[in-house]
Amino acid sequence: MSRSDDSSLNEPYHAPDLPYREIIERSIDPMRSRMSWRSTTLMAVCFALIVNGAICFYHQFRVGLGLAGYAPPVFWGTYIVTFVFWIGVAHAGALISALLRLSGAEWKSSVTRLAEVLTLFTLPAAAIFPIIHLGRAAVFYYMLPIPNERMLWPNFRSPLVWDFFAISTYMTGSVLFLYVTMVPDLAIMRPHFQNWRHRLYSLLAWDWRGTSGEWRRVKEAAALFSVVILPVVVSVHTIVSWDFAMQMVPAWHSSVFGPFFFVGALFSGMAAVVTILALLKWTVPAFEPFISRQHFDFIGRIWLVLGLAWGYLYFNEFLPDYYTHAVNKGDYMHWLAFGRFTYIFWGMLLCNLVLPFVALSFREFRQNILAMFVLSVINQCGMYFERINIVIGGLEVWNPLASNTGLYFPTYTEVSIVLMTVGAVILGYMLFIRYLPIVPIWELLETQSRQTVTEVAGKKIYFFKSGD
Amino acid sequence: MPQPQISSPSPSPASLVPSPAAPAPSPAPSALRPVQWGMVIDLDCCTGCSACVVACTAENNVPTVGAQQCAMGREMAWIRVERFFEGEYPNVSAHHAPMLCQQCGNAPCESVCPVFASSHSDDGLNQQTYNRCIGTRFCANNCPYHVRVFNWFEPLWPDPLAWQLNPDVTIRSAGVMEKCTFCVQRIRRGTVDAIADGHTVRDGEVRPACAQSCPTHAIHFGNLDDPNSVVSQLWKNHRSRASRVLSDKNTDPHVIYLRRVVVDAEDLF
Repeated sequence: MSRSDDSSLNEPYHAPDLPYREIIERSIDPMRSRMSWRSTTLMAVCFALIVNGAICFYHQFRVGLGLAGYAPPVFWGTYIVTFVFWIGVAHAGALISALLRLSGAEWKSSVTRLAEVLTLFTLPAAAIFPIIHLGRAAVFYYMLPIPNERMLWPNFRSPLVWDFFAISTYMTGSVLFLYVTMVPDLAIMRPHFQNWRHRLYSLLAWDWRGTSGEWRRVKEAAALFSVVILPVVVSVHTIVSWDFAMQMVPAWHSSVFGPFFFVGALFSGMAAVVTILALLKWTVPAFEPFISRQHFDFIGRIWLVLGLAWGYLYFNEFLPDYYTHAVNKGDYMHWLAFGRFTYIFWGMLLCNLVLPFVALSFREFRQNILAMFVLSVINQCGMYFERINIVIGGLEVWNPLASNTGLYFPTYTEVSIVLMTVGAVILGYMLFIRYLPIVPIWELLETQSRQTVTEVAGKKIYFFKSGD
Repeated sequence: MPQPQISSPSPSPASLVPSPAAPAPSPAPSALRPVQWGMVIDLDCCTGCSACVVACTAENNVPTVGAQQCAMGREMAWIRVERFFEGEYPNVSAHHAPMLCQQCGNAPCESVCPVFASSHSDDGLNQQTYNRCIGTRFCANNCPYHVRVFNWFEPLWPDPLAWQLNPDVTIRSAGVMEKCTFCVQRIRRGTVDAIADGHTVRDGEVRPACAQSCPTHAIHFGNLDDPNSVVSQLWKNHRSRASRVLSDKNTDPHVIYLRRVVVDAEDLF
């Protein structure tokens, strides 16, 4: 069977062929329907995880950081691994929405907000880890440039201070981006709800009336944010990589770390978007027409390219050291391939390079939603493995003198706190879907209004008139 | 009486603008030059007896953490005796090197601390401000000598142990980094006493606990900026066997090690 004959796979994207009224009804369906017992259970589990993690953190806060498994010279552990992981996932939001908006992809509408909301919850989940990991978390504000009578300022040479500025800028930018494009949707929701929700949406919609001036401003703001947020995205993860690359640890001291971390973040962010997309399609039946197989196909292509770039940069990091016979880096490579966590390294190569490369190259795979979902979960595990290799491996290997040969292994406290953020992200996402529009209604309507259908030789052909 | 200076004096406004009435300030005598504290460790004398470790622990209120924490590598000692083994069995020889904070002139730990808890003093000390430290452990990762230790838990001194605490040294709380200070409390006390007596710190007046307790006099302490001090003389006269640890890292340590002289018995005859 030749692949090009399979017309259903090659079908171009077209917006859902539904009346306006139904698009709106379907979009607000999860906000009006009663919670199923499944989602109630999931929310309860997430809440339990949060409570458990909070108790563990309080215990650690009172007793000391020794409750975590740190073993010098491994002074950084699971907290930093998870911090980098969440930052990576948080990168999907800005990339998807900004890049797709700028490139004028017509299929973007159902994906953009979903990705931005991912940033909304994963970025705070990431940002609390540098504080949880502090020895004296109560005085974390010493890192902030707060005027004080002793004129003590943070050390602007330290990458951790850059981190603070990068993350807070990204947080502000992505929240504004999300909110500005949501204002027309909040206005659409107003007549569909009563009581406090009506008042809430009216308040959040800022008395939106839909004048041409308001529309112009929203569109201008969306375009402006798309342009402005891209350099911020690049800077955030590059600076996170500098937390490592600016140090003397040989496994980290690498000039390629900036682009390598950035591409890795986008790679895992794409996987996270695929996971959410598939879950939404399965759990919210009303979204059925909004999320099509083409979405998975297109995202799969971007994902594949990012995976190849990640693979290139990963080996690029090692090759110069291999050719220059850098001894310390050689130790690190040996540790990766044959060391204590060898299964993590080989598992990472399988999850991040082999499987995505082989699988995503085929359109049949990219359009199979279950397969894409499984691959996205595998891929995120692989990216978590990668961060374990970098943070824990890099420190464990670096031992220029004879002493200090601790072996790190995470403890119950660390695992609980990591699961706390997982629970918080899932719970936050579920609450967002319940109370705010996860599908950008006005963008869907706009795309649909520009879509024209012609029938040629018994086949429907869709094309889009260019926007204003 | 000239006021002795520990740090390099900042020029007063009067000296910046030479006035014809006042005579030009005379150059500071060599005794008043700024101090750069340093240490010379003669490995030829070191027997690896660990007296320095015990003395340091007693002097600096270094907490003991118990066997389980030590097994995880969380020992709090500010100075440790590194062991290096040479040769193949049965011809194995062991070498010792006391390893303490190298008080780097170009310290990797200082630039990465987000809150300036790790900073440099004018007299060449790499100082740790416990009250300012928030425990990011960035400095510990970046220290190639791995001499920084972290208070994983609140340090405890069960009752008879509390009686031996040194009142001159701060007790650190859980969650802060600490490390060798070159016994800064002794340096400051010695300096203040010298100023009270109307002179600068003489060579040998300040000795850290490790140098004081070394039975073979392997550890020498003094002013590296003074060409006549014992440390400078040792460094100059033994230049052929003087080295600094991990010099390729360009950290400019203030601790100089004099290599052990190994004489092969066959060469003697």
